[in-house]
Amino acid sequence: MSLEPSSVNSSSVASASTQALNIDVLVSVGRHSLTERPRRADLDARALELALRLRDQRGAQVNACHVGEGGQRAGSDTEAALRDYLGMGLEHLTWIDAPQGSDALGLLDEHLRAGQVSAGPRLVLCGMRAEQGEGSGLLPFLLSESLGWAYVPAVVEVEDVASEDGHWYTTVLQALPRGQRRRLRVRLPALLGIDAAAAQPRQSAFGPARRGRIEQRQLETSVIADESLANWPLQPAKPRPKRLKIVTATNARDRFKAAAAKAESTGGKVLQDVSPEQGAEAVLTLLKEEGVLR
Amino acid sequence: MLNTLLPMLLLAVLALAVVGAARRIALWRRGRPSPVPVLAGLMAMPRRYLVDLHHVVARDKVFANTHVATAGGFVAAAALLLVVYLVPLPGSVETVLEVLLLLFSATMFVGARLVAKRRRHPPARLSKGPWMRLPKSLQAFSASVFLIALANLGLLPEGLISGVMGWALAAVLLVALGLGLAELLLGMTWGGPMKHAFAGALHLAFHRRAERFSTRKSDREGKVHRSTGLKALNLEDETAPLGVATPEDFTWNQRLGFDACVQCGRCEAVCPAFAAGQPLNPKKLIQDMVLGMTGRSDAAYAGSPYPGKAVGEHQGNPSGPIVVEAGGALLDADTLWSCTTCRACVEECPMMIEHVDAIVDMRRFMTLEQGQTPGKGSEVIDNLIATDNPNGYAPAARMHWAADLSLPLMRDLGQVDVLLWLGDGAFDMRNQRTLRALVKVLRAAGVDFAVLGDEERDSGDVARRLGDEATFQRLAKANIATLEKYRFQTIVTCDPHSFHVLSNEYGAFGGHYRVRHHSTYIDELMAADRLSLRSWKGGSVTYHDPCYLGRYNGEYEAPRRVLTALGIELNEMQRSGFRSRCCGGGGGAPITDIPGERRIPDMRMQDVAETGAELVAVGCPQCTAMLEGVVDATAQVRDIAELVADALVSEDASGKERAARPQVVEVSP
Repeated sequence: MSLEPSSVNSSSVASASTQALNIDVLVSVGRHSLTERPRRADLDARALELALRLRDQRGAQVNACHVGEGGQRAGSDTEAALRDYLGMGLEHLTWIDAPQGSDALGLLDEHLRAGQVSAGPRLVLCGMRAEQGEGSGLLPFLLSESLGWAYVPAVVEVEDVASEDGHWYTTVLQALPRGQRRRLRVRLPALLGIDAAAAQPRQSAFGPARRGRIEQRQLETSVIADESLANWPLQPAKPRPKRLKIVTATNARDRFKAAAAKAESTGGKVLQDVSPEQGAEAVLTLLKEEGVLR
Repeated sequence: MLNTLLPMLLLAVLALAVVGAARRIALWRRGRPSPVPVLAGLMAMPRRYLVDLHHVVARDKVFANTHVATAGGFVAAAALLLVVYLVPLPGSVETVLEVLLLLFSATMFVGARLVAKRRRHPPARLSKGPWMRLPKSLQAFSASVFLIALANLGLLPEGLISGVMGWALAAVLLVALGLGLAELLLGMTWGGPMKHAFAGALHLAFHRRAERFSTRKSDREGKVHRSTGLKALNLEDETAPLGVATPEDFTWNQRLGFDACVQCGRCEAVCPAFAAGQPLNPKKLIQDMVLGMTGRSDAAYAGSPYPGKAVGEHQGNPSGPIVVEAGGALLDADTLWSCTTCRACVEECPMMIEHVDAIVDMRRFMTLEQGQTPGKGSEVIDNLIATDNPNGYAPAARMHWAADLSLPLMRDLGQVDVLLWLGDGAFDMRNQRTLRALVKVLRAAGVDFAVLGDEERDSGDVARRLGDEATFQRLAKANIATLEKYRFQTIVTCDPHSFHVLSNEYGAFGGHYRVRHHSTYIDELMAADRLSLRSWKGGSVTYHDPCYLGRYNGEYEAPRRVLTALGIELNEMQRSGFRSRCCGGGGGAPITDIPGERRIPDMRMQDVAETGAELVAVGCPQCTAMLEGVVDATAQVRDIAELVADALVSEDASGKERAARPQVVEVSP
């Protein structure tokens, strides 16, 4: 477990106040699960909530951006959803024009690089996955790869941002199954994927939502078509079936223990200090055992 | 000496009073504009005072008479005093006026004695402080005027008005009169207990809801205009304000209305939130609005505080925020969110102050600008935005409760007599029983009806009371657009909240309908002899008036007629009719859920228990839910529709019964 104790020294706090933390929040258009009406995506809204708390507590600069199809903007679904984010207390939000079916990756890469002007601490927050489209949750991984920044998934809390030896670090809490948390120290700039266990997003108010500015931006980058999106068949999402837990207990005590006990992981193994090939081999073996790969 | 000093004193007091009036008017005018007909208002004022205001005051007969004697005596005596001492008059006229002065000051003195008597052991609802000295000032004024008139008429013994005694008496009388005038005339415009008279008169003249004072008798009886619908916000204009953030964001006549408060505490005595120990007292709220105008602290407030909140910790700011998250500003947010919008305070207020309007205005700012709807408020609003119902059910599930009833849909029929508005109770298993009963009754009466089905949306009541005017207006416009597609004569609903919104609040958006609460409609069906019913066999029954049916819409009689027609002898609660106590379910109060010492529905069920009734008849899904949620209740909760449905004689039997009934035959004499 990569648990590093968070060390905060006083000088870092002082420098934090001089160099404002810069946060970009990537927001997408969400859909209500029953009515499919456009709205803020829950995970992205939690990411924005986290950013706004950092703004309120330590004066962080928060910029939100969305990559999506431009064109007819007023009254569109996208505008309705973006206004939900503005209603949380943002003055403006950047909408990067992207033709339908194009890959957001290159555009976001350029947008985030262009924003990297100051040497101050920098964070990019986003929800772990989108509520529509591919929703694979891969974008932050690919983005962190192309930017060369760290990516931490399943973040629920940013505890601290501090500098040490000329570098900026953030201490975050990462959600693990069953309510467990682990504290991680990450060197900035970094991407944080926000988990559903993060704080609930604040109410989106009508007034700020109506007043907030949506600034449209055209980028120079040549747009690359999203091939996987074009090739994948899209269908409404269904809740993933759960594997039934079969309890063969004959008495109440055992049944209770089975219901209350932690799921024991059986048959797994922890690989440490192995070569990438050995690791890949182990993953493939597991996938074959589970019937995912044939 | 009297005759030279008195006119000077009067002139000085008058001049100072005018200066005070100008300052106070300037203070009110710092609010937002609100156009009112000035002349017509002033002309209508005496009638509004003598008829409408007195109608409320007269609910307390003893005090009404006291007030008539005191106020009437004062107005007449003061006017005569000014005429006699400031206008040169021929001797004979002056004598007549002096005699009248004697008469009115005596009347006023009697009134003032009665006021003093009431103040000896004042009920908790009355404010103390400066109000305790008012009877003394009233007596000082009336007694000194009486003696001055006596002296002028030469009716005082010679020994008293000559020599040293004369000087002493003159001095005493002038001081007493001066004190009286300071309280009664200066106090009117410079602030003090008598401010209510000056502000109150103008408040009646420039009331924001002039239609409350309709001169038509039918309106006064509450059948047509009760003017209970909330005023719409202008959302088209992006610069228009969204609710009230600072005391100066109220309209000028709302500010004037706050100043009219006489701190009689009738609102406090009926407020369910106050009784439950939630941090709200309508009287204190209005006094806080007054403090907000001048920016003072509430330390000098001498009435009951908000339960659980000490006096002296809050400070107003004329152009600063009313509510600050950290507290310490004029109000705390939980005070605003404790209100159930039951309108009991407005109904009781002799000065016609609109507490609920002010509360909703402030809630609007908190929801629309600050996004700080407490409790489950934001979740409910999000649900209304996403699913058109407050609990986030799938809109397509709205008709699941009636899967076996094969209800006719408007979509299929297009035109019917009665549109049955289901309300969000359609998702609630308890209310579904009421709805099924109502459908049974409508079918038994052969009513041509249909429902909107999945096309129906929440009426917007909860959103609006939670301050989310934007969601309310979206829902209202969507519902109006749906209703426009179909033809029907009447909308019938078993939800008084939908009833109120449909009939009183959709008008501002172009939706004008004939709406009937199901109790009214069943009453009409019974009057038309379209239902045959068995008579009631159960035990003792009482009826709980829903606020949104009674106080909001003046319907107290129809539900009682229906119950009586069933053969039920109603065992009325002490607080029923226009004084009915709220169930605690209105105004989004169960959603914001501000903690108190007791629960409002528990108190209401206690009211029921005091009648000894075994069953409480209700006419509102909210009331049903709130009252049924009471633990260890002594009475069952049944909707009127259920009682009627249970009493229906089945169709075959009814056919026989009808045939057996003697026909009415015209007999020639």
